[in-house]
Amino acid sequence: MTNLLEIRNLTVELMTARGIVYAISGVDMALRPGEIHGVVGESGCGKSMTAKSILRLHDPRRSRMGGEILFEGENLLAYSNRQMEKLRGRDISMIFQDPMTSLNPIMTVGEQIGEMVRFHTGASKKEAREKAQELLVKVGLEPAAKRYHQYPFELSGGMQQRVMIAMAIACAPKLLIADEPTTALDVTIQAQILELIAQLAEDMGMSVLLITHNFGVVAETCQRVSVMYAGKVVETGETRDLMNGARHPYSRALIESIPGMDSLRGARLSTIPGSPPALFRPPEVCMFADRCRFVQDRCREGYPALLDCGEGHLAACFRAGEEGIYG
Amino acid sequence: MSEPIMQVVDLKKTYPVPARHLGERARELRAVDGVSFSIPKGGIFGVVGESGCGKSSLGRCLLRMEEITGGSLLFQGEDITKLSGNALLELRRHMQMIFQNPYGSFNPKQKIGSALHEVAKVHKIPRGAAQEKITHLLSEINLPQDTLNRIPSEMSGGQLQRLAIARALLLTPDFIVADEPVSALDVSVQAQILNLLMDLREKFSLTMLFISHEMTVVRHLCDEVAVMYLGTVVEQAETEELFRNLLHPYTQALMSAIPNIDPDRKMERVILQGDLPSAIDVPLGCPFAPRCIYCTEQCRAEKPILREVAPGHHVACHLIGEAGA
Amino acid sequence: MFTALTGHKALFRSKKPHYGKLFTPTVVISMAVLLFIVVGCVFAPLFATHDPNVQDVIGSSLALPSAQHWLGADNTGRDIFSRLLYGGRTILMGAMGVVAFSALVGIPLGLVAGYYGGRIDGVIMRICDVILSFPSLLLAFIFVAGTQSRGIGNAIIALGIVYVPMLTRLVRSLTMVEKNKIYVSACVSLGYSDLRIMYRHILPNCISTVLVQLTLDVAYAILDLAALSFLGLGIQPPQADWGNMLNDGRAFLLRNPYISLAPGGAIVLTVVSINILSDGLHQYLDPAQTELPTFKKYERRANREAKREARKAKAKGGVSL
Repeated sequence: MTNLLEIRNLTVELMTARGIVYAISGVDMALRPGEIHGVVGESGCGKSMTAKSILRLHDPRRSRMGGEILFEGENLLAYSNRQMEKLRGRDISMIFQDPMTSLNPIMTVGEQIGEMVRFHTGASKKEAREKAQELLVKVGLEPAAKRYHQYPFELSGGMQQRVMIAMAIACAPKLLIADEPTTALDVTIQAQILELIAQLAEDMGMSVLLITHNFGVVAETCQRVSVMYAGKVVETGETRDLMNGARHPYSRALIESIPGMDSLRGARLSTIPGSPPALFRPPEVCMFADRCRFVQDRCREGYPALLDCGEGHLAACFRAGEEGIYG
Repeated sequence: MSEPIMQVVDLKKTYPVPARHLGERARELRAVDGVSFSIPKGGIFGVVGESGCGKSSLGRCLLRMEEITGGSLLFQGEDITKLSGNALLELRRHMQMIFQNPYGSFNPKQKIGSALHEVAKVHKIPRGAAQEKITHLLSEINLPQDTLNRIPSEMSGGQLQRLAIARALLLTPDFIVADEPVSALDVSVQAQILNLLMDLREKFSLTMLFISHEMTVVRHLCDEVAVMYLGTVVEQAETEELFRNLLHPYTQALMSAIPNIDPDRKMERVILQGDLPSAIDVPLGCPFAPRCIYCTEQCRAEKPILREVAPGHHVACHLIGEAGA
Repeated sequence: MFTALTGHKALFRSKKPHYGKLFTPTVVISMAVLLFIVVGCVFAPLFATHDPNVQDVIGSSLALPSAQHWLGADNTGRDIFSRLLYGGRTILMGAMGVVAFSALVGIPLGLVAGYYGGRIDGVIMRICDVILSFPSLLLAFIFVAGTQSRGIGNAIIALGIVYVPMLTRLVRSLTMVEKNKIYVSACVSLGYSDLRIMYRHILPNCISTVLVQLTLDVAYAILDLAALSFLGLGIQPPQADWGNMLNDGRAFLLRNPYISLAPGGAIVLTVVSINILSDGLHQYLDPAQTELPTFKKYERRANREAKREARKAKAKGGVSL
């Protein structure tokens, strides 16, 4: 099966007042058509940065990208700005964490959706209007005729996110990038939005790249998942395999530190000692070595490549293949 | 059960909502609408609910950081509802708060050491004793002594939250309100802070009101839990009892909405329709009625009161009989 | 241990940012000019070539610049250069006085209005609105007329009052932003008094913006004081000041333009320098304004520094070997 999106050795360097930050240093990721792929990690691990890189949303004066982002076989990093403009919203669209700031506060939601339709398809005003109402129904904002004329501030956070989704799917994109789409929402609303995204992905045959910090969200929605740490993908695989048997010590520790519904109340939660490294140098060694329980000398001598642990389950750890190291 | 540290009786807090245009009457937002509970010494009382349910207002009212609209607060048996001026400043010494966003809870221009010493100075603790106490607390929260010379922007979120906890403990308070202390943190850091709170609870016999929107966190840490919806408590019980026997339809929905980390155990989900109604126009009957799948005529007309349906288990729902639903 | 990552040289992990410096070339030049002017004015007696108030109508009335009178002389034969120095002294001190007055009154008012809000805020802001709705010079006129006395003291107080509302508004809006930050709630929960919260916590977090505004106000105050003196309401003759010197030269503009040009030039130079300085200060204090280098520039710099480090290391190594 050919991949819809393939990221090869992506690097992103950012210029900051403290020097160059190597925000992403060699990310590999592959997204199959129609799949919901999760990207998890803690803040600062580069997951949102990866998402933004696909649409090339970084400030070009303050960032530098390397590697390849192949979308349907074409390298997006080689595209001209004009080509990117056409691609954004039509073939790949994106929704963000905070819908309130992503919507224009002085335009009705219907007009905003209509504008999106007209810009990319050249539809007439009337067609755009009909299409917008159709989209509102599709994302569950009814009665559409009333919602069309409302302003963003009249809607709740969950409904605003639905509007964002309506805009994102207006041109039936092949890929939807959802950057923490439910982080600002309450759990009951989060459940609604995730359900909606999964439903739309299935109906439209759309792939979704779901960026989140919440393993629960991944487990519930994604078929495959990549775990990121310090600007690298450390593990990737089928969600079920990874959640039940993570091979990278970082993913494992992260999953274990979540208090569950069945865990013993009041018991000590497992933690990860130390804190993530600052990213002022490109990594030459395993970035997790200083915090790892299973560290060996070789971890501090070179960076471990992604190691295949079977069935497309890859982990960037020298010891990922060892049997029974996690007892 | 030992004597309660904090007793809340029918607490009400409303905020005025000015009229938006001419001819409209000014209305009020009922943030907390008649909440009662008591927290025994050494207990951790959890309050869960979604944003806008009034849990943060409740916490601020308990510390008297907001004017209380109705009801009363008894702190160690003494009525503190009407305290003001110096008596209120004195009360603050015995009650402390930990905030959600650790990056914001320190003055960005002040060194950590100066911030901690200032607390001691304001409450007239001699400098030597304060120094000793700060040194001791820093080792309790596992931070090096040179932390005192740093400014907040040089610290990570986890470190700052530890310092916020240390600052709260500096005055050996009898009662602490923790308002979503781990919500802004990454999971691995969240685990560190929860562990720390559990350790300190033993060592300092802390009494705490723990506010959170995460059921799992509350379950892990608290002895007793109240679930809030639109300013009222809809279900309240000891933690074990509550999670063994979820009675209120809202609590059930809240639980099933939590994404489960175990991919093999996908629960049959009750996905709630609609949004949280605004606390300005609270429905006449049960506040949850518009979203409830079991809603009846009675629910729309009459607001259910919190009743004990099993030993120590209180629920505000018409549909739950004495014996359970 | 783990030197490849953590042991790297200061360039990559130093705490201080490399960019966003205060002393950029423009700021240095403007500071130099200001220093020149201030030193000249403060030590006026040392540098002045003549007594500023001694007239020499017969000898040097309306003299053009010469070795004796560097910038010429006015119609009564007073030396313009000397008057410029003494005049600067009054006007600079006057401007500082105006700003100090407005800060002493405006900052506390702004803090109180912003922190408490409600009725107190309403009263303070309405008074400010009233003052602001008058043109500043007109208000100064009214004040001078009301007190029935002219002179530098009154001019300072009059302008000071005019400057208060602007500062109050600024401090109020900054306070309202800071007030809603969590650290202020934390202070309340720790039992701090309102006064302590306002002065020890909120003010230090607004001070950088206020400081920039104050430097700008000095420039405005110079202009306004000069204008008042020009109109005869400020410093009274024969005492020199840039404003009344301008006025003195008005009648003789065609015969000897230097009488007006010299104080005019001094005002422009001072005000421009202060504005540039204030702009530089603003950029320095506000990190969002910092101009970052391009990757190329940065790397060239990094390479240079790496080479220097290597040379140093070599030199050191040579000794120890």
